[in-house]
Amino acid sequence: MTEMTSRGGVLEIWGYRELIGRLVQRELGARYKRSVLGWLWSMLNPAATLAIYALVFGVLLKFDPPRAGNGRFDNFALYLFCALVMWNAFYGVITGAMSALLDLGSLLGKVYFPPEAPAVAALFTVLFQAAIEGSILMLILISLANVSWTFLLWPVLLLFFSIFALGIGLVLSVWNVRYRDVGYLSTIALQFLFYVTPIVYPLSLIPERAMGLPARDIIRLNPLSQFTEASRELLYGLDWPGLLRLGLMALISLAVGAGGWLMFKVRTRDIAEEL
Amino acid sequence: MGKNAVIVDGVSKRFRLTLDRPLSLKEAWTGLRPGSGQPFRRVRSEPFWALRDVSLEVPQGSLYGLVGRNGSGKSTLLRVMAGIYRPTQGRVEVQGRTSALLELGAGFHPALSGRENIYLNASVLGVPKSQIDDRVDQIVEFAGLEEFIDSPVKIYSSGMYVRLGFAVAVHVDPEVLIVDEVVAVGDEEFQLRCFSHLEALRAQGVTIVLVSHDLGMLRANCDQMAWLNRGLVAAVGEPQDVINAYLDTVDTEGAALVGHRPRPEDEGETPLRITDLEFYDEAGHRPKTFASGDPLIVRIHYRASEPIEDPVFSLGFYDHNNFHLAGPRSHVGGFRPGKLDGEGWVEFRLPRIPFRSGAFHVNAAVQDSEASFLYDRRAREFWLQVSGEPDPQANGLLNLDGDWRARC
Repeated sequence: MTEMTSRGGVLEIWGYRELIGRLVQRELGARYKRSVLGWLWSMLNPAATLAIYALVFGVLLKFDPPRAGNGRFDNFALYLFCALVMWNAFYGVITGAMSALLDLGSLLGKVYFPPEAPAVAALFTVLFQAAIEGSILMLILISLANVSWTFLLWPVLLLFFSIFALGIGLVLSVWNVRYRDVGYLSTIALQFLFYVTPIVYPLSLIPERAMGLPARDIIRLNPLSQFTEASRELLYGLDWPGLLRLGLMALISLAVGAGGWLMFKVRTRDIAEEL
Repeated sequence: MGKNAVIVDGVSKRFRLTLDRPLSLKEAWTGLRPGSGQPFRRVRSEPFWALRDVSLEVPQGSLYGLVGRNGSGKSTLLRVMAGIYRPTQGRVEVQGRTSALLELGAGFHPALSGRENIYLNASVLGVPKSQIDDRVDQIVEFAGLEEFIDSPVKIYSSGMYVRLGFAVAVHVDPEVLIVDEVVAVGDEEFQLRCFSHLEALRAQGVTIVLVSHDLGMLRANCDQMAWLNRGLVAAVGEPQDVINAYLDTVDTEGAALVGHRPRPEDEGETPLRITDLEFYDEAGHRPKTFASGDPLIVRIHYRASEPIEDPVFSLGFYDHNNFHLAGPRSHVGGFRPGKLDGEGWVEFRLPRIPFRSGAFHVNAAVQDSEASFLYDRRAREFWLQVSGEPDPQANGLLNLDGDWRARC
């Protein structure tokens, strides 16, 4: 075995794909297999969230969505959904990584496996769910004749975004083992992030300046905004975000993902003693 | 058998026992303990070395036994071998797929069913699903858990837990099997099955590292053994030698495990008894204190209630920390005391006492001529007082008889 794939190496996870497959299968099995309506149940939560936000922000507050890419309609719920799918994936990967390490960590004291395996399994579980949500969204858009080759880029965007989320989730999961209030604080931080990211509102709703600060630029600089906006452009606006922006997003994702991964590897070398 | 399956090379393991650490970010931020409002003490407690410079080689296909008192580092060593703990210093090399069975049950997830845990465990060990599909029934049958295999393991009894853990660990085709003293938990019948299965695995060339307190079992089955004492390898080698060395320091309950009564209460229980131990100088006096470097004669008094041919006498010298310094045995140089009957004594003559100042306790034991059956043993009763340092500033336990030369 080479240094990279050997025990504790960065790429040893590859040797444990069987384990990751098993963990994903277990998670998905619990979610989908147990009931006939499993698939519908798993969509109930995102559908309900979508409905509530669409009602509050689209109907009651009357946020104005831009016109769809084909120029024939505008729909706040669909505009919202394009960003919400991304947020759901982000949220799912982070909370999944955090709970996975706590949940399976006790096994680390009895048998060796790379401690990032549960988080990686959580990532794939979330990707699976996001793929379903994304497919439903695309089917609706196609039925409205709002479709373009930009749809093909969306899975790539989702993948990069979840790598970004995994990097953050891995770091938080180590802290979560060490300090018991990290989960609690993360929930607050995620709630804050949700509202400083253009998901339930279009970026254009944010004033250029607020309280003497360049508010819109601040929101735009939030890396999450880039991903949610890009998702809207690809699916709703049928727009090509440009090579520079896509490249930048890929770069940020890979940097955050790799940074989180390395930090996780260093911090979990003795994790069996802590759990 | 030339190759080693497990090489432990100079491994030390340190644990930091930080009892007083913030448990939440809030506490870390404020630096105050909850409730009392007292600040955390910044002192880190003494690092605890669970293993110190441990080196072992486990030959491929052998059954290797580990003994030691509780807290001697056995379980830590197994965890280091299994890759669960990272050695603080040194290196561990394990050849082949390693399956470990530590404490109660292998790595089981309490919320999953027994069957799911079988798959989870197999995938952790890198066994493909197809292979486990073929084995599941075998595993369930071996564990005797047909009725419960689809229930979550958290409802299992400890015995069921261990049975399933053992069944999984041995059915995933391990090349190296690491077993903590778990096998003792099951009932007699299951234990027997475990041992015969371990035997079968060894016959297939599986390397087995086994921790146990059952010295009789270890002596009968192990190819090699090591004895860990306070994180140090105190003895390594032939099972009989290691067990003897171990027993020299362990209290009576340790000896009772191999079926010996080291100090029979009743005179009639052993035909040969050690009645006393005396320390003489060359002039035949018994001084209270001996000078380091002086001659020493240890006289072992015995009483034999029946004639006994050529028994083996042994002595054990220990410092006040119970560190085993030396263990001379009478038959090593070919000495035969002849046929003992009635009362008499045997002497061990030391031309120079090598120990530096201090109190040392000397154990004495007598065994049969094969050195396999223990007649009597007396431990921690006889103390040897040494003083009169040639060099009071020196360090170490022993004075060495060398001399110095120089070329200028």
